[in-house]
Amino acid sequence: MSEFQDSFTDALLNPDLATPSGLVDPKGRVAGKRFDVYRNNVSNPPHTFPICPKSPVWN
Amino acid sequence: MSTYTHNNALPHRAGVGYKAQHLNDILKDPTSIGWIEIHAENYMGDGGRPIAQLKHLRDIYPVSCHGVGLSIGSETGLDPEHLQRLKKLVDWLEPAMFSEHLAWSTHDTGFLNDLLPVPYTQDVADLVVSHIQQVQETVGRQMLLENPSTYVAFEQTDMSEIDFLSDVAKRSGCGLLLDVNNVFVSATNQHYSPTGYIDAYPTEYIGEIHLGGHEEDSDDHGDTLLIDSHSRAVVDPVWSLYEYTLAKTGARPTLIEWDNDIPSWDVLASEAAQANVLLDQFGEIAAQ
Repeated sequence: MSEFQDSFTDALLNPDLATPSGLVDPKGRVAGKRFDVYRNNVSNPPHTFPICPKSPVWN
Repeated sequence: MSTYTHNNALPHRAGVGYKAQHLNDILKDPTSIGWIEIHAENYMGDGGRPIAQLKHLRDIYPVSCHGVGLSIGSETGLDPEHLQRLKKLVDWLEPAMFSEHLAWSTHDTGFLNDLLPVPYTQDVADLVVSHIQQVQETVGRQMLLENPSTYVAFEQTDMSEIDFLSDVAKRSGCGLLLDVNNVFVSATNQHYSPTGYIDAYPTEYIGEIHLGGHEEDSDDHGDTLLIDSHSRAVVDPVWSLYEYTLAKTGARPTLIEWDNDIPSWDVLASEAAQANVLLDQFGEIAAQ
């Protein structure tokens, strides 16, 4: 699992990287645009979704 | 497995995700909703207007505390500082429910602002059980685990989401939060039957239900791709799936989630009223 979250995170933060291996659509094809949903959410979060740094202080 | 005192029961009525812009409208007619839900991470500071409002509202309504930042599925472990902030909030707020997501959002020292998916394997289930037990031991109460909206599948997955959730709930002692919109989104995206999912779901663990809106897109091959957005009204197929669920479970506490493009209070309250019509109908059936 460790390698999976490493590669998933790297690909999330670098759109030039390919979709991590093992991520597919229901027909077994490379996830492609489906993975981009996560990329978009991480790089352009909805403004009202709680943006939580590692050590948040909310006031 | 430790057994924790069950949370104070939320009423089997509709609640809403609390937004500060609705405060005055809520106070004008407090009976229009049965309870409120707050995102835990928005109330982890010691003061300010959010805490003042929450102090007032907790005297009026049962409060469900919904975490979005614990990263239950993270291989790097739970952040002990974040967990202690959660404990402080829960000790003070004494919420009727506490819930979190089956997802990960932290990796090494970074926070990734999304609810990221996990493969359904025994190793991941073991990790999630361990983390839930750590949470429950820290806050001293049971938590509910929410099913995710998913957009991708994992080649390494070797059990169904239902089997995964059932196994985790049984071994950790947690309850489950059934997000009916997430079921519809994932079933559409992963090409399975949403009613089949509900038929197989371990309803005995349900402590709360969520309803929300989603957006529609398509993937690289033109297949429908639904995206959980909490930015729209609940669509008719999700209302139908909710009705299908209640026919099996009877009335359960139900939240209307609307976190983006937030509407006027009248619109949000009408969604809650629509849920209450069904809760009345199936509450009576369950009582017979």
